[in-house]
Amino acid sequence: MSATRLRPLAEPVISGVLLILAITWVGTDGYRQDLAVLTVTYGLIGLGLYSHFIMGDSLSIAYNAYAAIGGYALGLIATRTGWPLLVSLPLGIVAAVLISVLLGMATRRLNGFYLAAVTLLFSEAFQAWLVDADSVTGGAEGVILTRSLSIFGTELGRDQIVVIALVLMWLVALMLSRLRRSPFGVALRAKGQAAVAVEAAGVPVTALTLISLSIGAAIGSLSGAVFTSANLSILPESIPVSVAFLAVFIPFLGGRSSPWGVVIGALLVTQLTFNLNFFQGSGTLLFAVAVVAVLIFAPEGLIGLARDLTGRLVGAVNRGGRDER
Amino acid sequence: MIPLQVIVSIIETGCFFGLLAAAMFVVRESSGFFNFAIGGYAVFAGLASAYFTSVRGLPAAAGIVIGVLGAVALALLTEVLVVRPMWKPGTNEELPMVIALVATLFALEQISGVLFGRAALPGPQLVGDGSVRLGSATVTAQAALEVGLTALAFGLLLLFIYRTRMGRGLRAIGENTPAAIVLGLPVRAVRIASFTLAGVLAGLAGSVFAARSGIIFESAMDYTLFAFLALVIGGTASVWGPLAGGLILAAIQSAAIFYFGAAALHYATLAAALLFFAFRPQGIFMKRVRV
Repeated sequence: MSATRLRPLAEPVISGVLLILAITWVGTDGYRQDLAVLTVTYGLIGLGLYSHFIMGDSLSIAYNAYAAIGGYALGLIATRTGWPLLVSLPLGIVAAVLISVLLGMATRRLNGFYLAAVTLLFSEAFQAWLVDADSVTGGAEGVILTRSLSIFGTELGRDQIVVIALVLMWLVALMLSRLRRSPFGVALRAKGQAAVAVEAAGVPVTALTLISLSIGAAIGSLSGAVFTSANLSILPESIPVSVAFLAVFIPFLGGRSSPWGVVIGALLVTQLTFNLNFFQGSGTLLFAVAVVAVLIFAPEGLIGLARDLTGRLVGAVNRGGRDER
Repeated sequence: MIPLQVIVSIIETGCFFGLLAAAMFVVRESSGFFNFAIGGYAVFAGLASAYFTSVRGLPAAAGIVIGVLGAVALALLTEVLVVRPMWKPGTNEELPMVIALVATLFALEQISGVLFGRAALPGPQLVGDGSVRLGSATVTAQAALEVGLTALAFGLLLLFIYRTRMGRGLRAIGENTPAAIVLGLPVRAVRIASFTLAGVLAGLAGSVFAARSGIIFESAMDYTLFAFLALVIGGTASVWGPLAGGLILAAIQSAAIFYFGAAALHYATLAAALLFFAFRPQGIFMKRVRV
């Protein structure tokens, strides 16, 4: 086979090898599992945002709500019903998608600062509702799960859930990477650049936006499900409004040119907020400062920085080669 | 019917929102974007003044001066470190700027938390516990101070924007930045002046109003959102827009809490935002252009 025919395989193979390395590194170590769960939670939220924000330029950031819906779907079905817990995944996704479509329709004329502000207000209202509606959500105490996810009658332990979560993030990133280059992804990216031209070309912009919002909400709901099934509890505080901020920063930190940048960004966020939190939450401060610095000095994120450096290196090598001839 | 006492508190809260919205307004006039970091300046000023008075034992006035100076320094740093490298007038590329300002807000919130602690602090008490009966309501000296200060600030802002050369330059640049650059207006100097002014207004709001119910670092995002919303409700065509918007927003929030309980604050704010964005996106005071 020629090199060009092998090329499409490079992305899944390389990322798959890294995934296997990550799974073996995590193993059964409780601390590493915590890191992995947090990375996947942040990563999926960031990937959700990728579909409509990075590609479609619509800054709808109510991700704490979508993640909470996914988490509470799991928690409520585990405690209030005898249904198999797997049912909660599609239910959570459907609920999150419905909410995102309603919110998207209510805000369809807004963009930039306005859309960000209204969706943040929605995040806060949803958070207040989670605490307020204690007959539904258990109020500030939240829900403690009495059972875990089970497949074919065997209940999954934390070890298996962590592996499934990592595989899930890999699959979602891979699918988004494909989606980005598909006709739908191209239309979406074009909409982000020039919505009027896309509408004029016959693509309904509102539908495009709503679909991309739904994809994001579905992925966001999965992130809540991962977090809840790994920790076996969900309360309003476990997914605070500030998650909406993190979700926006993650792709910018890692790099916007590819969903893998989101994964890198999620790794960094986990590292900064979990491992470097030595002095009064200064890890979060470091993270916020890092985001500002990356936005100013490396607008394409860390992936862009790496690409820039390799580009220069390759250029230098090529020039060297030409000189020798 | 809403009791008189609630109306007094609406006016106090409205003045606070109005000052924050005015801080956002001056930057918007000079540069054409919303400075989302405003809430960060206010929280930093409030926490700094509270920290130096209640923990370090400085007099209240000194604490407030420190708070306002801190807010001005942060506003100038935002201009130099964030806005200057990222700002491209006349393009539609506003998204990286929005993100950078939101990240700045987040960073300021965290800086305040790391420097002054994450617990709520009581604000500096500039005036005593005196109060006046006004019908069925009690007006505290603190409330009188807040309203007086807001009136003074808006009076001075009005004089600055409509009566000084710098103020006229500010409006001209906000109206059409590329044209202002071509005409040789001092765009950079005016923008620095507007950021300084924003720092003063947000710093005063944060440190003087902190005495009402204390201050905590987590409020930064709420302050920004409420200031933004007040500005959207009021409109940007007049200096009175931010104040009117602040009072209306405070009235909506207080009425919601009064009738439906504390959680209704966020529902009512969201509803107000959606309604205004849908039906009156230019705000109450809008610019009318006759052709």
